Order: sequence, then C-alpha cells, then structure tokens
Amino acid sequence: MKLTHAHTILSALALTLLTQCGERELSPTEKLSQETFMKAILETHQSTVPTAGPSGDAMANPTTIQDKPVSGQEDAILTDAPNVPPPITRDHPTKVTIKLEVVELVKRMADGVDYTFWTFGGSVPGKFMRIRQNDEVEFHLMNRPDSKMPHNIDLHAVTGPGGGAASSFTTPGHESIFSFKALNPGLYVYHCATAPVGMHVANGMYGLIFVEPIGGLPKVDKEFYVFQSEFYTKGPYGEPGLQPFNMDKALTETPDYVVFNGSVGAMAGDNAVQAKVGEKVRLFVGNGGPNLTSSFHVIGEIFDNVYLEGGVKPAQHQVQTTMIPAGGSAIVEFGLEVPGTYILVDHSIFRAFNKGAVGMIKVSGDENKLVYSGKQDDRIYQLEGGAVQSIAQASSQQPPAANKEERIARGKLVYNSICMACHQPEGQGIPKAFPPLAKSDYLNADVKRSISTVLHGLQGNVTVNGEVYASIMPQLGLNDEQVANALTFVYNSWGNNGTEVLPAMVKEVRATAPPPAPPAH
Amino acid sequence: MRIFLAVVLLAAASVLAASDNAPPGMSAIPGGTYKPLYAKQAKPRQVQPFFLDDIQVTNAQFLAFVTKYPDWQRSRIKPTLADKNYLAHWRGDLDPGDGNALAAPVVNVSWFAAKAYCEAQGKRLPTQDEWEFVARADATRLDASGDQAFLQQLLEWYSKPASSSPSSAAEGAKNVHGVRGLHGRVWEWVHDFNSTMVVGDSRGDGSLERKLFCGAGSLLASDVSNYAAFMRYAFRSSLKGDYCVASLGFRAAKSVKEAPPMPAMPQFTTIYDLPGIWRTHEGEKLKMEQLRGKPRVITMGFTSCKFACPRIIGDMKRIESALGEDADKAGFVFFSFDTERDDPKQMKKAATEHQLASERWTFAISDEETIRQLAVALQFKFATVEGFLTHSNLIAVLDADGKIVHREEELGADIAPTVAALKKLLLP
Repeated sequence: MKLTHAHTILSALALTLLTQCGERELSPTEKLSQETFMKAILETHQSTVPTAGPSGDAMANPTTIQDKPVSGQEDAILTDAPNVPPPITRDHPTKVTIKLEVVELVKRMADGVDYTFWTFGGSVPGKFMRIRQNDEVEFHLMNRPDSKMPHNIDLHAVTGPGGGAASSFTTPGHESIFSFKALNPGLYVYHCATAPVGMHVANGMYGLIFVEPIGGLPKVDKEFYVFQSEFYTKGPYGEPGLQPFNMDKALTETPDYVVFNGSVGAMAGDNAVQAKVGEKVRLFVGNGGPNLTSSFHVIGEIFDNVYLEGGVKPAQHQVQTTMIPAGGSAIVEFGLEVPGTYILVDHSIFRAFNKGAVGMIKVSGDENKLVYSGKQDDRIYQLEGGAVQSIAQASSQQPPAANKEERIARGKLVYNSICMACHQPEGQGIPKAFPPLAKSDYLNADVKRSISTVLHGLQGNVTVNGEVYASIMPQLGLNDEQVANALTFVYNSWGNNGTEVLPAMVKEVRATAPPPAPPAH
Repeated sequence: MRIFLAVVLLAAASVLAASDNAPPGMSAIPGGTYKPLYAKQAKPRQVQPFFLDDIQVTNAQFLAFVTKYPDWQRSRIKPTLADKNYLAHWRGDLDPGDGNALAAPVVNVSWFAAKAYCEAQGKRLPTQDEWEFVARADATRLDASGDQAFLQQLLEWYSKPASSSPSSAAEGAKNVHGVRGLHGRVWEWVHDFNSTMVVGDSRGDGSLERKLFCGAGSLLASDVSNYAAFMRYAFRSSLKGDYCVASLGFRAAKSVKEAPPMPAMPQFTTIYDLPGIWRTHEGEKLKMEQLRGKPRVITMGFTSCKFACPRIIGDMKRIESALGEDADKAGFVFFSFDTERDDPKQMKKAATEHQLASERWTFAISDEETIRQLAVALQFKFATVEGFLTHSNLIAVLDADGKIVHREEELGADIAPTVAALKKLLLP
C-alpha cells in the first residue's frame, strides 16, 4: 500500500462512516475529500471495486453470471515457475486445448543432491495454466513411454467426480483426453491422484491452474508463480547423491526439504525474480503439501490484498502472513516502495532456515529514506546503573586444580566456553573490536591488572600491542578458581610468558576496589 | 515329537520333490496362502503349487517365437491384438538389436502376445495371486512384505524412470524360490490383470478405478502402508489387453497338474473370431462366430447380481423398445462370467424373470479361460473376491461382424446415443 495515500484514506474513511450514519451533510471540501478517498481506494485496492466483471454475491454462484457465448479456439500457453502466462484479454469464453506431458526424471533438489521427480511438464511445480471462466477445455494428458508409472490428473478447477482423475488415468506411452467447462473462476491446485496418491504428490506431481474471472483481475506490473511443497528423502537435508523417497518420514510428516518451486534455491540468489520500485506485484501461490500447511510471508512487505484460499475477491488487506493449506492456494498483491531483496518464507521458520523454504524478489530502483531509512546509527546499549555488564555464571563445585598442567587444561575449557567468542580460538582477537591475547604486551606486563580485568570487566580505551581498542569487556562472574585457570591457560599459550595464576592471587585482587573508569570521551 | 519330525521331513520331501519336477528354466513354487492388498475383509487367498519361469522372457526368446509364428511379427500383427508400440524397440520384424538386447527382457508386448507366447511353450501367464505370492519373497524369506526395508527398496526402484536399455534378464536378483528379477527390472503381465481394483460391488459407480484415486485408494487395502503393492496394482489397473509399454514384459507359469493343452491364441479381428464354446440359457452350444449377421447389443455380468446387472438389463430393454419394430433385426446378448452359479437353468430363470423376448435375447456362459479372453477383448474388468463378484459396467453395440461401434460404461447413462448408434446400423 502506498503510504502517501494512507492519511487521505483514513480521514476520508472517518467521513464516509459519519455520512453513512446520516448524522450530517458533507461540505464541498469534505465531498472532495471523499472523492479523493474513493480514488485512492481504486488506485491502491483496485480489486475492492472491480472495474469490470461481477462482484459480491454474484460470485456465490458464478454460473448465473451473464457471459458471451463460447467462440473461437486456442492452445493454452503453459509456463514453468516462476513465470505466469499473460493475462487473458478475451471478452468471451473459447475452446482451449491444454496438452500436458508427464515426465519422470532425475533433477537437482539441492546442491549435490538429486531426486527422481515425477513431473507435469518436466519441472516441479508443473506448468502454470491460465484459462478464462466458461472456457471449454479439451485436456490432453500424455505419459511418456519411458515412464515407470501410470499417472492421472485431478484438477481442483474441474467440476465433476475425481476432478478428471478417472478420465485421465494414463499408462506409460499413452495419451488420455477429456473435456471440462471452467465454471468457477479462481486459482486451483492440480495434482496426480493415482494410488498411492501420497507418493505421486510427494514426488512432485502438482501445479496451478488459474481460471480468470470474467473481466479479469485488476492490472498489475509483474506476476509470478510460487509453489511450496515438501520432500521426504532417505538421507537428511543436504546428504549428497540421489536421494530416494522415504515412506516413514512421509507418514510422520517430517520432511527433509520444504521448498519453493521444486528445489532449494529455485527462486533465490541468481534465480531470484526481479522487480522495480513503484511496481505492483502479484504472486500466484500454491501449496502442494503433501502434508504441511504454509505460513506464507514475504519479509519486509505487507500484502495489500490477499485473495484468500485462491478465490477471486480480495478477502483481506494489510496482511503480514497468510495461511495456505496443502492442496490450496492464495493470490497476494503488494506494491514495491523500497529497493532491496525481499525474502519469501514459510514463517514456520525452521522450514525456511533448515529445510530450504526461501525465495527472493530483488527490487531495484531509488531509495526512499522516508519509507525506510536503512541503518542510521550503531551505538552501545547499556543497562542503567552499571557501566559494565555482568554475565552470571554457575559456580563451579569442582575441587581446585592440583597443579599447573591441570590448571591449564581446565582453563582451556573456561576459555573455550566464555572467552573464545570474542578473543578467538588462537587468542588473535578481532581487529578494532576485541584485543588479542596472543603475544599480548598488555597481559604480560601486569598479571594483577589482567586478573582485575577479568574480575571487574573493562570499559574505555585500552592499548594492546600498539593498537587502541574501545569496546567493552563484561564482568564475567567467574569464581577465583575459574579466573586463575583461564588466565593460566592464556599465559601459557600463544607466545605469552608462562605465568601461573593462583586462586589466592585472584582472591587478593578481588578484595581490592576496581580501578576507576577512565573519563568519558 | 516323532510325529512332528515326520511332518517336517514329509514337508521337506515334498518341496524337494516339487523342485525336482520343475521343468528346465523354471522354479517350483510351493503353494500357500497370502493376503492380497485389495481385500481388507477377505480371508487369505489360497495359491496352489505351480512352476514359474526363473527369468523374464527375453528378446531372444521372443524372436524365436515370432520367427515360428509370423502372424505375431510387428508388421503383421492385427491392431486388435497390440497397439502401435508393439515391439517398438526392435529394429525390424526379426531384429531385436545387438547382443545386449537379445539377453534383455522383452518389453512392448501386449497381453495377447504374451499369452500367445506362453501357450506356444505349453505354459500360461501367472495369475495375479500367483505373482504376488512369489513377489513377497526376498533372498532369504518367503514373505518379506512386512519388512519396511524390503518395501523401501522396491519403492526406490518403482520411483526411477524406466531404463532405456534394461540389462540381461539373467542378472536380476534371485529370491528364495530361485526366481530372478521379479522386482527391479520391468513390470510383468499377469493373466487376470483386468481383475485388478475391482473389490466390493461396483455400487453404481461406473468407474471402478475410482478406488485407485485419492484417499479412496486406501479404503479397501489390507495394508495401507504397502505403497509398493499399491503401485503394482495401480500399474496393472491402467492396462488394457492391447497395450504395449516400454517397461512391461512378462514371464510364463505352468500348473503342477498337467492341464489340457490350451488352444493357440487366435488371431482375431473382432470378438466373433474368439474361440471357445459357450452354453446358452436354452442349453444350446454357442460359438462366437454364430453371432455374426446382425447388429447386437451386448453386456457382461452375472444373473444373480442384485445391483448393477439388473439396471443394465433394464437399460437394454429400454433400448430394445426404443427400436420399435426394428428390434427384431437386432440381438441382445448377456455374457455371464459367474462360472459357479450361472448355468442354463439359472440363466433361463433370469430371462423369464426379466420378461425378455427369448427370440431376441441370449444369455451365455463358458469356461474361465474363454470368459477371461472375451473380457480382455472387450476391455471389461471383473473379479471374484470371497464369492463376491465385482465388475465394470458395459453396454456395447456391435455391428454384424462383431466390431464394436459404440460403448457405454457409465451406469444409468442416457440411452439415446446407444439407440442412435444401433439405428444407424439398422438403416437399410
């Protein structure tokens, strides 16, 4: 939604409500404001008041809507994801021929991982088909001679038993033909329904067919085909090689892969779809399952319109995440105000980050700092009252270390679990952020100062090996024994001077007051 | 204890004896029981001891067959017996390709051709029950079908697209019976493939295959997690007798008891060319060829059917009256597949009950083999489960030569197109 219209819409909406209640007459300027509101609504939510075609309750029974007679003949344009065939501009229904070939083939599931997909048209998801309401479709399903299995198709757009399944049941090396009339507009999933249906779906046999309503949907700048589905493989996510289907995982609904458009990265990185600032985008989103419901979300965008469950009326505006059931769909629309990469995810978020459910829309164009500034500042945040943070640590119940060797060994454990995150595995630190502990002049010059630093933390500039560091060392909450061990490990590693720090020394330093913080600068 | 030992010894001896008897190239399969996938309520089915080919029939063997019986060569075969893909992978009528191809299982063969091959060897196609019974075995166990690892292995093979050049039939993995390559090679024809999926009465549902689709596919299965078996049944269910498929071959079986030699698979153009003797409701012998000479409306069913068949007979009666006086120029035939209950007396009773004008109507029954052959030729499905007969619905219009000019497979469909097809044949 365009922000520039937001205020106008809200104030005009208030006026409209008042007028509708009949409380007062509108002044000429208020009337103008209301007109502006309607215009704004039309521009940003064109589909709220469709410019053409039926609306409202007429859709409850689309067959009652007046339409021109069927005339002409054409072959349907079929596309692979993420592409969508062009909108249908015909003002009348026609006879459409759709030819779809079933192909069983090995393709990439993820880098280094292959899978034997069963496909409608050679790719997962299957071809996107676009027809118009009341079109009369002659459907050809061809099963390649080298297929191992018979297949069929159940189009959710078909009114009739099985959605075409029985009529399209096709042996390898054969072709089935059946016809249907597209009575209901909407975005429909199709899939193979041959027993065992779960396995046919699990192997990739699904796609979308969009039955355009009379008058079409409002015009947008870009349309994309996005299809979520999951795969159940013998090996875990990422295990290389040709991965067979795993029955147990499918039954327990624990997929290894949850992906958009058939494979990990099919719509990300170099395969991301492109759009420009100022454009309005429509996504035709399907979910083939076989099991999971999608919590479909685009990171950094808000859907202006969601045609819930693939219907042809925007059911909701300003939606962050929309739920798409297995065997269901949704149409989402949003305007692009700010350049950058927008990530499509299943917001059941482990699926996105651990199983592959990530897609991308790369948006180019001019920045709009008012809408989104980017990072303006980066500063240190501290809790009130204490300059130095304290990390609570459970006290160790272990008996004291018996000798230097044991102290170094135990110290290493403390170092690895606490210090290493900043000071790095080889004590090398991170330039300009965390000072090195390896060959550290700061450490080797003064043991008591080192003990105090670990005990009390440190704030302000510190110079180590000639470099100035300005970050903060938190108070770590270690006991005397742990501090002694950790420091002894550090002093006996990476070229330091070999000092053994004893708990008694730590106790002594703890008893003295921490050094005053250096003056702020 | 002594008795137990004796029984064990006896059993062992009988298995050995069977093995010894096995014809060359075949393994003896001891009989037993098994539970088919599509028979949830059914009792386990009995499989009699039989012999099964060790390996799938190869291109080389099939070459020998078509050399001896030229009618089965690619350029000569009748279109009723095989579709256009028949032996499509061969380079010529008598040229299956190089040496590798010779040893590979023959594919792209129709049911009719596979059956003819078997009969030429004095063998037959295995039944679905026989095939599935043997297919449960792995290398060490007679029944591995409860083992998920075994099933997973099968699924992995089924998932892969068919290889363009299957390797030698002799390389297939050997199971405990000594049979090689039952899985992991190519699919195999079974004799009664057209009985697949027909479990439970057709219940007014013209498309029996419905049970194969969506959730309904699992309703009647005895083991819904046995996806491997589902896939085999689904595959068979998609076939018709003339289909030739690149991943479908066959192997032959033989009964232990010496069966009378089968009549050679005929070259038929229409079903009136099919051999076999039928017996009518009047107790008369009937050969298919006697039905030539006038248009006929035919169906298959069983007279004690309480649901679909009476409705089909009702439809045929309405077709008969729609013809008016022309009805005398047409014939109406009901072919029964119920060999247990339908005999001339029972069929006569049915004809009387339905008040069928006997000069126009014929009820006929034959032996199982003759019936199966007609059913495959008519693309008609039927099966017997627990004495419960199930079948697809068919009303077909045949011209005077027996050629099918119109078929209706939906129960309760409009009779007008059927009447129109018939009237066209009756035009002077």
